[in-house]
Amino acid sequence: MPLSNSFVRRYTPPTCSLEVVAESSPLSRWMGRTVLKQLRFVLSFDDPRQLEEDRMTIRGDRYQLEALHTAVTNYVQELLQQSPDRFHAAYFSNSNQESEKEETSSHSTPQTIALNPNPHLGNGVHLQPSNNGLNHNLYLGSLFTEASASVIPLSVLQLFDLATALDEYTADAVTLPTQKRRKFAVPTWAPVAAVAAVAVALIPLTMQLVPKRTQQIASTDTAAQPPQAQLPLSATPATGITPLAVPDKLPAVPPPLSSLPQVPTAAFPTAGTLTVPATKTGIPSAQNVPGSIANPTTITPGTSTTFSTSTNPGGVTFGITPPEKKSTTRTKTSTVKPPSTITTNPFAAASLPSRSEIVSSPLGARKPVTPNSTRRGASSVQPSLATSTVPDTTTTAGQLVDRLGGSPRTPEASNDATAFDTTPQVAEARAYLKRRWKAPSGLKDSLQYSVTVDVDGTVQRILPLGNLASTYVDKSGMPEIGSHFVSANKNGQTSEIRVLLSPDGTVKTFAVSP
Amino acid sequence: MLKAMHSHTKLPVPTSEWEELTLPQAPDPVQLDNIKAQLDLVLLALEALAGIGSDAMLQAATELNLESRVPDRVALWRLRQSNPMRKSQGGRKKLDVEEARSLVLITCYLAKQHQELIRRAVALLEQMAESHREPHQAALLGDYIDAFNNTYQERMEEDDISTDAIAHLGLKLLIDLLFYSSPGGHRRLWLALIDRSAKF
Repeated sequence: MPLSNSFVRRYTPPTCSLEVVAESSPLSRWMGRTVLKQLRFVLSFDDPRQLEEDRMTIRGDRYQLEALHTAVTNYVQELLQQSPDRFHAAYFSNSNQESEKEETSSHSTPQTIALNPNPHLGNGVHLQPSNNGLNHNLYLGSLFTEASASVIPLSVLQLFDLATALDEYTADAVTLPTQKRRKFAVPTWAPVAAVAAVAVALIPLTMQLVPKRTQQIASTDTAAQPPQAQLPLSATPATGITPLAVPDKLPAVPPPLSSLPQVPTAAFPTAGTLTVPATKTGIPSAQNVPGSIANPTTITPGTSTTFSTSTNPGGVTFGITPPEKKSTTRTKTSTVKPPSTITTNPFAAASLPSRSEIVSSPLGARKPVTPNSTRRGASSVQPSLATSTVPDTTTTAGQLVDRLGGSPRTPEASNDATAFDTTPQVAEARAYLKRRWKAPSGLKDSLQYSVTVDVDGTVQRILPLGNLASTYVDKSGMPEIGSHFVSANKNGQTSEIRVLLSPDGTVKTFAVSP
Repeated sequence: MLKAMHSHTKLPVPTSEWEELTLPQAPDPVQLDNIKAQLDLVLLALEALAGIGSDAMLQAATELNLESRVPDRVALWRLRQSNPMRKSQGGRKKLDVEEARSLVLITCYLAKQHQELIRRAVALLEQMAESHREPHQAALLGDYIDAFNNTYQERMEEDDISTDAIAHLGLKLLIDLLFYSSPGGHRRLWLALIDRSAKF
């Protein structure tokens, strides 16, 4: 039986095939569209008019696919804006009269009308008209190091089909950023969540821990604990980890901790250990995988609030819930557009979310942390998580978020930050829309919009996602096109902010990776 | 084995497509003139290739729920007549942004409907280019070039343009139509119109 969170799509226009394999993130429920992670693709240029041996195939990950999509989209747009004169020159560029034309300087050669590579692409994926009539060359650049060739010739039809397949894929899904190559602020709670994940995973191991540790725990514990959950509160300066906050600073964590397995004591190796503080509700101890959580130097006492809540197994499993217990994935099989064929392909280890998913969980964001800490911590947990007890897996993502947030959210909460505030503009957008969004009566589903923001922070474009969003766009409180919306982008780039307006009046905003 | 591209069914245009045709700011009169001219030419190319007339355009408007913008043949004629390149008897209608959007959606809708034909024409054009032959030597392309040439000269006021230049324009527009016939074609056309108009 295929795993419910696997995403497999094949886009098959006549002259190429694009197969995308990924995992579907539980965030798909929130976004109203499939959100992908751990994406891999295979792009085959299989024009039936070409010989078998001339057909080329390239493979890659999400970044390569996006780079390809960007390059193709921009190139096609450049072609459409090309003047007819250039078209004429291109058509006759490889004609019998070419030798004559070379002697004349009045005709522009394909080289001179070559389109500039996308200046934003440092990886070099770009297209240019070829010397051969109406054809084009796809230069893979340094991004595609595994490709057998660096240049792929494309006819106009192949270019069109490639653009169509890429557009269809983009329309189908949104991919989550991974921490591999991308730099963005990671919320403070992320390593905390990773540690908590380790804690849950290693619950069976804690069963064997030394009893004398319990005395140490009791002396440092300032809150009542259930007998089965006793935790040390120690810091290991050797690892550069700052001590975690004492329990009384931690908000109460609501159940379902009662379903936690019995954990009498915790045993911690002295080196490379990150411990979990005790809370009022009792939290299983965690034994750090040596070297797996390194240098979370930014875990300060101030982050303890989220840390403790993240030890809630329900919260820990947010985004990590094994697929057999989740029904959030929407595998859009029959709804894919006609040219695409759908095949399902169970993932061997697809039950566990990536580290990036933990990062993107909407917990209260505090200070940014180094990505390294969360990355390794989460990744090392994965095999164990599969076997951990996962209570309350049917809870919705929103409920999990609330639990992880710990204290009930108040409308006037001064700290309204969320884990999705990867840029200041995201928070500004949310604040702006919160003032204006009033859910119409009778609205049952959320409205989602994609807002393209110009460099100066003005609204460039608003794209309602879905018919409902289109219907209610006038009542959504969305800003006017061209109006000032958020602060200027310090990177000098346009950005895209995804907005989710819920019937209960809440507003969520996310930055969409370019 | 040929892979078949499925033709798009005739469904009312999603409101999101309309909403995608946004403008960062209102175009000035010169830009609007350029948009009108470009749009008219794209439609002209479609007419010349597929033989579609005002009936097909009005039908498309109906199916796209755009009757309010293009209610009848007269309204359509006036929209297209707004092209400043056209021979005019005076009283040229001003095309506003909403009408431009409507024409974009209608154009791309019709291009989608005739995608197979456009694709076949482009394939022929590629073959002729590779074999270093003049495009009009292929029947489909020859008919297209003739129809485009005749209609252009009949409607447009520009006198000092050669038939070769008109043919080149027609072939360029043929390839453009291919890209406009894709699901996201309306975005491409809209962006091309805006960017091109901003350059003049």
